[in-house]
Amino acid sequence: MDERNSNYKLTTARNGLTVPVINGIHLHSVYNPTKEAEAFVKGYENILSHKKYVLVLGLGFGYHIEQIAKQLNDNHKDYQIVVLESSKQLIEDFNLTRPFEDRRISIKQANTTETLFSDWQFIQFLMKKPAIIKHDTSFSLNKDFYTNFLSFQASRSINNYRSLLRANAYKWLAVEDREESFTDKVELLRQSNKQLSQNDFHILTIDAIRNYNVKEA
Amino acid sequence: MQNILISNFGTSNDFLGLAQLSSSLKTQYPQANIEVICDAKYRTYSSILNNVHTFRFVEIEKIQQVFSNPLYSDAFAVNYYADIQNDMANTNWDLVINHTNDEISAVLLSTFEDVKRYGTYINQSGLPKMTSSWAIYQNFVAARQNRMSIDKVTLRNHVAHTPYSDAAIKIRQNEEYTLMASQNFNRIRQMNGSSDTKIIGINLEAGYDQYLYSKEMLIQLVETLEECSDYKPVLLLNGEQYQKDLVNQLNEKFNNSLISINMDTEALPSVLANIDLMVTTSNDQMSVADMMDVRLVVIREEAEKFTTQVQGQGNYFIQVKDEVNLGNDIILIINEEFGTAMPVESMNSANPVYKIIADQYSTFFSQIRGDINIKNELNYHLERSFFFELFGYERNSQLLTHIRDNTDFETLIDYTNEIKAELTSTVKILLATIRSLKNIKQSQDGLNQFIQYLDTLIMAGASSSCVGNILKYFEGEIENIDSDNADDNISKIEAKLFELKSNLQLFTNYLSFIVEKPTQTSVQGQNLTT
Repeated sequence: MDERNSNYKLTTARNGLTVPVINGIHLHSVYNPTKEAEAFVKGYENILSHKKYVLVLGLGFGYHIEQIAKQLNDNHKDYQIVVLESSKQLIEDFNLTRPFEDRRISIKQANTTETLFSDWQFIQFLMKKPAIIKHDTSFSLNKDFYTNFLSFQASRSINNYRSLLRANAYKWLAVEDREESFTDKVELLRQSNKQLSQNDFHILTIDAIRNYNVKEA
Repeated sequence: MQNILISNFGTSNDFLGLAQLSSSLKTQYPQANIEVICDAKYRTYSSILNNVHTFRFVEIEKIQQVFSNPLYSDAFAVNYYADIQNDMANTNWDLVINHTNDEISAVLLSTFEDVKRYGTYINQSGLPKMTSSWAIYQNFVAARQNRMSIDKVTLRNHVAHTPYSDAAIKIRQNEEYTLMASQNFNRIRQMNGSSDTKIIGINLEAGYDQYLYSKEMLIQLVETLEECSDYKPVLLLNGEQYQKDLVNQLNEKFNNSLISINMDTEALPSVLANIDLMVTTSNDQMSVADMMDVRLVVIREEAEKFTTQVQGQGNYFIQVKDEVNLGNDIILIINEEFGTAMPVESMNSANPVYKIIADQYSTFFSQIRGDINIKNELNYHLERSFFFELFGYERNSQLLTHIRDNTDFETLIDYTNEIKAELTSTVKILLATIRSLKNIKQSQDGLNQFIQYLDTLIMAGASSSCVGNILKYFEGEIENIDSDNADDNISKIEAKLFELKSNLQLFTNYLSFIVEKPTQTSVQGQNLTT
């Protein structure tokens, strides 16, 4: 959702629950958002019985997420839900109106996909291979953002991720070629006749870890 | 020594082997702070290893996942390692050791400046550099052997310049579990009416080679033990479903009368402390038991690679080629160990059975029964003794005399003739290489010819015989020369060529000795113990 151009308001459903409306589209049922959320989660019962980590695309106003949490709670001792939402306004209103009581649910806000993939904590969550559940209305309202997220590929060029590097790592990976990747850097080190420096040994150690494979004899 | 860092990036067995090195280091340097950098996947075992003050775990899987997934920036993998480095930089290390002779450790050692290093590391030209003769042997000989003639623990201790020591306790026990286990096992012993009842643990965990003994063998073993009041068999599990299934099948046969114990990593040492003898495949539990001096009968399927990590003196190792007689082999060993006379159905097992014995050097495998490959056994014993002598130990004359006096003379003649033929052709190439040295400075052709001879000489080391291994060691010594000066390099190579000549002569002396004066005729298949 592009917040600069959108028409955003909060309305009340027939059963009294708050429902955000964006550009005339209600994010939840105008009659009974809870019931709608229960029906929504039924379609994911099987996957939620196997996976305890869930990434939800779209906050809406949280009704579907609470139902997901309920389902996870029935199946797992511990679980974690991360909700991906680009609208700051929606998150603020949600937190003021009915914030999640369950601490195992967190909301991740980002304007761009690049920002999301610059966050190590978020990446560590993705590495747990969570189930991905789309909140369809949120998804279609902000299709570009979510599609970009789902099709993201990180740049391999060291120059492009230089800002993410720790100070010591920055020093090790100094490159002249703008397109040089970590793999290129290692290859160049191996082919070069120059004397290896301490920085080079750090790079080679990381490469050895990258290729490490040991089997019990 | 204040701060010692051990780099260990090997198998789970290698990780457990840290207990051997760290206890020796602790004995040598009682005040030292001993730390380990290793793969985080072995975290659960760290709680039972004594003498290591801090483990620095590297989440290798996580780093590899970041690199391999196109979603994630390589920056995070690099940062992960950078954080570990930052943390390590806060300590003033006195010594770093490449314990497992692996690639990560070799480059990691090179990241430390002005610190003493032991083992293999990478020099500034990007080539492996070994810090001692033992490290050369480890990297160029042991790493390529199907059967290591010098056991891994002894070798690694020598690489780390620390004498092997049993003085420090290697495996940590949880006091609460130990008390509980001791009470339970006392009750189990009393089931046969005597506190002297021997507990025979049967470990149901599959081996590193995936080998697991058959149900029929287990039935025979359990039945025989149950019928003898001196023993009580106990089935040992670690929670895997296939083990539970096996216990259920055995219990069906024995009317649910069998005792089985589930041991997680923390409980493992407490349980093992109460076992008098454990029958086991080659696995992590075996390694822990070995370090706790539990008497072991280790079983592996016969394979070209003779691999077992068992090391404790008095333990047994059976290579299975005759599954039907495995039970008999085990029962026979238990009888011998405890002086009982349980019935052994057949004495015709083909399974090679080895006992681990110690001599002045270290422990070694001595074949005591079963089909013998005499050439392999001679290679193993002669080569082991030869390299120990080469590295400064006194000659094991007792072993050589034993071989000479207890092996069939014709067999020895056949063996030595074969090796001598290899020696002769090797010496010819060696002499040609030495001669070609003279022409090096005269022309480019001379240099090329020398290199060609040297290559041919090194190529001869491809053989798995003792001569081949002496040549592999020579190759390692040549690779370890890293002078910038060409003349200096040549003179060092020349010195190594003459050393090789004298090493081959030394081995020729071994061969001459064993066929020198047969004092009696003996049969092929006799054991080669000292």
